[in-house]
Amino acid sequence: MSMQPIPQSKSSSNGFPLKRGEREEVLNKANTSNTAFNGEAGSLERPSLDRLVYLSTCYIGHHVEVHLRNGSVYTGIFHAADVEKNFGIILKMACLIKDGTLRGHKSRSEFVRKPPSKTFIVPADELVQVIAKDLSVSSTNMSNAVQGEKPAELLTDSSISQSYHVDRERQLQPWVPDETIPQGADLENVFDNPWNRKWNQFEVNESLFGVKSTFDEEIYTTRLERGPQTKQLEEQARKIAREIEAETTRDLHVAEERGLQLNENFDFDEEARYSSVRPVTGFGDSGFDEEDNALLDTCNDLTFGGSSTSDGQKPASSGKGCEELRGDSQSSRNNTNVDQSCSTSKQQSKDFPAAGSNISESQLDERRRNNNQESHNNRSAEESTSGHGDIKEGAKFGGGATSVSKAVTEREREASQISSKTKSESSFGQSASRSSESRPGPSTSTRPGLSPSSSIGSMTSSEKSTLNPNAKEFKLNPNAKSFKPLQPAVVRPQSPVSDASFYYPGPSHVPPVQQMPGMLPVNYGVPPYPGNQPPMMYHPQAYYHPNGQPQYPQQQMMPGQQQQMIPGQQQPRPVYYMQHPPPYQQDMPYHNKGRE
Amino acid sequence: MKPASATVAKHDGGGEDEKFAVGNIYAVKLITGDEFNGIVLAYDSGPNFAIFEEGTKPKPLDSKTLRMVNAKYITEMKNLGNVKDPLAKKTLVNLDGLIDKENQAIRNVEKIGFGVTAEAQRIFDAISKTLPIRWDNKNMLVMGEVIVRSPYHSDCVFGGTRAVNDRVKTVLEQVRKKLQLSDT
Repeated sequence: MSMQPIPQSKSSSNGFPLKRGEREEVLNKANTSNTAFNGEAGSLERPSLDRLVYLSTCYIGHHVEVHLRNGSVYTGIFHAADVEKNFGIILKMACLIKDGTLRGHKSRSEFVRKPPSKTFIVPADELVQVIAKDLSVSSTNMSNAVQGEKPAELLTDSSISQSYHVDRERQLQPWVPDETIPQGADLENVFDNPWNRKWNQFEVNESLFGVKSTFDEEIYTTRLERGPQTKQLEEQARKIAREIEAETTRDLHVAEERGLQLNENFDFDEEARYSSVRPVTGFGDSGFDEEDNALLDTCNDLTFGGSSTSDGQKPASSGKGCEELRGDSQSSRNNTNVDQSCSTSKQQSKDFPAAGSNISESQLDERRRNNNQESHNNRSAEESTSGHGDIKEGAKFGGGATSVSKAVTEREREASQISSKTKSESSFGQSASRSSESRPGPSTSTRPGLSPSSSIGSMTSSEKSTLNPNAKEFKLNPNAKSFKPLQPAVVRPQSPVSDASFYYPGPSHVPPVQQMPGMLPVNYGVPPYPGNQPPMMYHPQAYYHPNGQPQYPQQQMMPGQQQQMIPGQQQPRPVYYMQHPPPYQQDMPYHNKGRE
Repeated sequence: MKPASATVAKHDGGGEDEKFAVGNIYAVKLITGDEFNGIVLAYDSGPNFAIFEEGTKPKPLDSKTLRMVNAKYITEMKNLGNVKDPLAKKTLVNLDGLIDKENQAIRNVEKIGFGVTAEAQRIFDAISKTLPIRWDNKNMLVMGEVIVRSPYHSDCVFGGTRAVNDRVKTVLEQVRKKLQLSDT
């Protein structure tokens, strides 16, 4: 009849019943989990007992207080009760909190004399009452109570790392817009066409700060000459644009831009969709596959006047920063042609050479034809569309030309998608387009078309050319403002180049380029350049080394012009043309740091 | 569910059953001197135990204070009235959930050191967030290998491989710093 704490008779931490019999009795009575309260037929005769059993079962796991006959009070975790017979109970981790045998009372907190008994049995005779506070007797709530423990265990970092007395949560207040700030959301129409926008920053600046603006849009853009052919050219552009827009795409990013929902969308997590990190598909030189090689070749050709191997011609008008992506070298020929057409337009300057229109047709055909091929599809398409690579605004899809340019960039994306590229390229293309737009006007037909953006061959082996199809043909404008190249997206983040390594405008300045490895040579149109090996690699991390001086077709460059010409590279290597921002920063309205 | 009194037939103590009809409210006195008011939720004359819900009005199903009372030791019961059976709605018992609950409770109790200072307990709790740790009398046993003795400073860390030992030392220092306890 004594209370018998039975220490360590069984490891109770896993909850196995000490006395199987006892637990099983309870189990039997409870008729296993999820037993209806009124039990099975067999025990209908004793519904009262069933209730008792039911309620006793609810006690399991709960912290209870047990009063004994001698006045002692124990606290512990209720484990089992022999309901049917004599109602002895078992507690786990029981602590004596009040000893009935002692005279006087001790407060609970002082009293813990012995460590808790792992298992504690109380025969019915000793038991006066068992108190369970705040007990749940409904099953849903019961499981919730257990669940309720779990969230408490999922501590947040902040709650873990903070010390004890810090408040976990703040009272959140809903944000109320500041009344003094004018509403009207000029942000919303920021992408409107300029004539739609209600906001004129220049005016504002003038009124606020008294600054007189000398901004002339034409310095940065080519004036669109609307001649007799305008209508026809616009027609063509629109037609092509429609075709492009109507196309479906498999590229995830392109689809997103267009608002299409690719079926497999849901498999892509955020990272695949939006990350600028390229998936690892062979960055290194060795990672090239043929088409990339050819692609880069042709890209380079375009950009830099194909002294490239693929095609012996001087790119007459190559690379007005037209970005072409192609898979096969044969298209490169088309590309150079395309270049010509490409070179003409910028901002809807539809002053194609007559040939241009023909070429565009052929391009279209080619494009369609190529559409039936596999991966080269998109690239070829690009070339055709790149002819119209006007980029009004890379981001926007309005109007024929714009859409074309957009399409081009999208094509690039598609192409890149094929080699499982990421979005970096596309936005890259876009930024390229933007940058080309902002470039100073002139372009020469013979230019190797090094718009900085076009040079964005930030091509890795697995990338397609990211020449900017929308870059305008470079026509030298001696009066142009200093040009600030945009930084194209690059595969890796670059370290900024110090100013010291920069060129100053000056006449016939060749040499400095050489000794600055990693410098972007700013070329002042120095003819006798060929022998130099200017370090193209601006970027220390770039993984290729300039070798083989490309014909430096920058003969036409006039001094006094701060243009950054990047010598073309033939090698099918990832080409990094870091646009160098710092000195020119202020001039660039569209300065785009590229994507980091 | 019919009140127990209706099915008196076989039991002894049928009178008891009547007394302990479900829904009756009583002011109960026990031989220990404890007193309370409660509603009868269950009673059976076999074991002669009754379960009361404390209070004179039924509380929500998920939060009752129950008293399991040995009817033998009830000295006095004063009837205070009647309510409908609070458990009329049939519910289920989730035994697995209960077992989990019990295990959880046991684990929690084990986390409390016996006879240790509050400071020691706080250190223990903090370490237990990141390392497996348990009490071994007044020592802390970390990762089953490393013992931290009283007064639980970095120089009281013994045992385990060099790496583990160092790790525990570091964690202990961090914990102390964060709790702003005095350092050795």
